[in-house]
Amino acid sequence: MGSPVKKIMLCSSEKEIFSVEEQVMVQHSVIINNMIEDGSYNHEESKIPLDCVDSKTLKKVIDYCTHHTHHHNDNQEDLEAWDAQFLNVDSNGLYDLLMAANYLEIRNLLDLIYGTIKNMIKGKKIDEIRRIFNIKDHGFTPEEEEQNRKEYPHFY
Amino acid sequence: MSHNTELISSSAKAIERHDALLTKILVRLPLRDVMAFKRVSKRWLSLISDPYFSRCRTTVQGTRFSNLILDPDFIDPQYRELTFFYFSKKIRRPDRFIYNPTIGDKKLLPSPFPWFDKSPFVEYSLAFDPLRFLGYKLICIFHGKSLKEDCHQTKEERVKDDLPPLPPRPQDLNVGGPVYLTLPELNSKEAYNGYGYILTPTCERWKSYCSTVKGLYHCDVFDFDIKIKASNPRHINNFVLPSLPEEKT
Repeated sequence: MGSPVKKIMLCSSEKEIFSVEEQVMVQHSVIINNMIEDGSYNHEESKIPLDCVDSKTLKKVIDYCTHHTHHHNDNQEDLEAWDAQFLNVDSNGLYDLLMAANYLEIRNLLDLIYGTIKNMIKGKKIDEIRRIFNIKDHGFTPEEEEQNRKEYPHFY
Repeated sequence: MSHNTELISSSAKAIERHDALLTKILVRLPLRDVMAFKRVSKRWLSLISDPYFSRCRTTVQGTRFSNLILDPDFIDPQYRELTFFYFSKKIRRPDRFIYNPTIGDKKLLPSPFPWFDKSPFVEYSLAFDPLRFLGYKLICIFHGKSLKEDCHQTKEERVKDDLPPLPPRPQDLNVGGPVYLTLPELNSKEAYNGYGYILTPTCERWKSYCSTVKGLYHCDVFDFDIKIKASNPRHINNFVLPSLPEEKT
């Protein structure tokens, strides 16, 4: 069709404006879909402020949504490979992505990140989990802890 | 994998502090990890013990029946959970209580199967299956090998001649699906992998039974509802027990 692709403006915490195809965000983000549907977004003058998402993360999120919109017919393997590469981010990156996906309610991305973190802790011993999550105060009394360790040594 | 280790050190703590996000991650874990991770910290214990956790896990993992996460081996008053224990005042017939250590309240449970009370081969436990009933169920576990003998001392019309056969595969059943059993008699690995099936009711009293695979441990599970008016075991302040149906004579 000749009609131009509808765009929406997203504004990061650094006040940087990102212009994205409306369809891409509507398809993936429950929040943005709702805003468009209930008419609270005005295409002439609105931009959607995302105060808790920085530019770097927002760019990643847009990348994810764009790729999954335009490549949803790709075979599963290619998509998974792309996802794996996409999540190969630095230390805070994954957490920032998780918070952004949570805020924008992008379910596919959330599932992907949850699954990734799950795989990191699956099958781990309790002591490892405590170290991974930096849990210093587990809240059990020394007696309870000792009892648990005695009864379930294979968990520790 | 290097980035994984690094990731974990800096942002994991923030994730760990976020109850909702942490729950979403934990519900994806296999049962073995769920059971183990109850001991990571009191907070994890409380998240995992919340019926919401079981419901969420059931949805995410797409299992028809949730796991029977509560088990006498894993529930202990010291964990400050809703718990269930015997009070063996009289050896022949122990009284059974459901107990909430947080508020120190307890409730004597009526015996669901009085004619089995003298049997040393009957165990009770609490179980939670959100897809069938949003509350705890008291389940009665009969040790298979002793069942036959035990049954013949009781009302004949209620018992079968022999052990129930190992149940057929789930797709042959009208209702049901895999049910995880965590039986203390099995070693932990087998226990987490052991499962059985819930079958259609065979008669009024014999609501359902299940049996572990491999024939290692035959058991019947009878259930009846304990209606606990709370969504969270930490905040239970009201126990409502249904009146039991009149026993046929």
